[in-house]
Amino acid sequence: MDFYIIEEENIQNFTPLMEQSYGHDNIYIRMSNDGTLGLMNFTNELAPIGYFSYTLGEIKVIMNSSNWNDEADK
Amino acid sequence: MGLPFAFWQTSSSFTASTASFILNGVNEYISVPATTNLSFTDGVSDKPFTISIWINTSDLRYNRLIKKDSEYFIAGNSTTQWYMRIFTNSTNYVSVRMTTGHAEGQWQHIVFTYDGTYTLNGITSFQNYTDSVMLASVSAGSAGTYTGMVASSDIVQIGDTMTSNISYISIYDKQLSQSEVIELYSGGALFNISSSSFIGSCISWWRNDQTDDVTITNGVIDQVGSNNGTAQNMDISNIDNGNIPT
Repeated sequence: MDFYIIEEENIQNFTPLMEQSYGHDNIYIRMSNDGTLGLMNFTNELAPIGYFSYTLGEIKVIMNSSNWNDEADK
Repeated sequence: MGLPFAFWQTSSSFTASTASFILNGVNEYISVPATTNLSFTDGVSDKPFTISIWINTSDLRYNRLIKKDSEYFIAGNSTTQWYMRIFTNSTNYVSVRMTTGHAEGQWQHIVFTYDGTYTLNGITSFQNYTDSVMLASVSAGSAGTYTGMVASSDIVQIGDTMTSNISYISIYDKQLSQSEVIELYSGGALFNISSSSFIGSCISWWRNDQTDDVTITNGVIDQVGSNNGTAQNMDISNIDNGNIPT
């Protein structure tokens, strides 16, 4: 399951694809601090066209950036 | 006339763990709904509690493992030392930190205990253990004036920003003693907590293993209480077969 950063306005449309990728609807979409982007997961087959896929190592770096990290103890 | 055969009562079966949960530290976690027995306050004063965790991680630095957002969390600092923070609110909190760093990349048993008397006794109200050894603990990262925790509707979130394997996580409504922590550690092997001498103080115990179902709501079973959890963004690939404390 790869990671995709999706614009907030497209998240609702793509949510069924994420649920289908997991095979269940217990999903959580982590949002950027400014609320404009969401982190979603899809299988390769179900990923929306035109979006870049990130590996876990790549997305960990992005999630530690200031627009995503809400932890206070950096 | 007696029965022709002897009927033996078998001991209740216990399925040994053969797997742990592996969490990506990005967006996978177990969500446990808020209940009063996972908040440790009577509305005036703190109440004692203990959190016990088996974990294997190389991603401790700056990351959190378990949290009830506005009440408590357990996390790692920049030098791989575990710490626990308890909150009155976001600007008034205290933290306690183990002064020995975590051995990364291997299973360790981490236990934070609190007797509920921080406002009277300060840092001595905490006793904390790694692999059943009580470690020196110091105050760390406190702010404002702590006056006690306040119960909230926040979920208990197991798994946050720490990439890790986790196994038996349990919460108690007392400060476990050192001898009880040694019993819980069980020489470094997973232990059937239901058979412990302190089971009456156990609020919740999540195995996080192959007996749980990470694909359904409330599929991460509380073996003691009724605080079942729901795995978020997880599937069977999160059940890491063969990777358990030994």
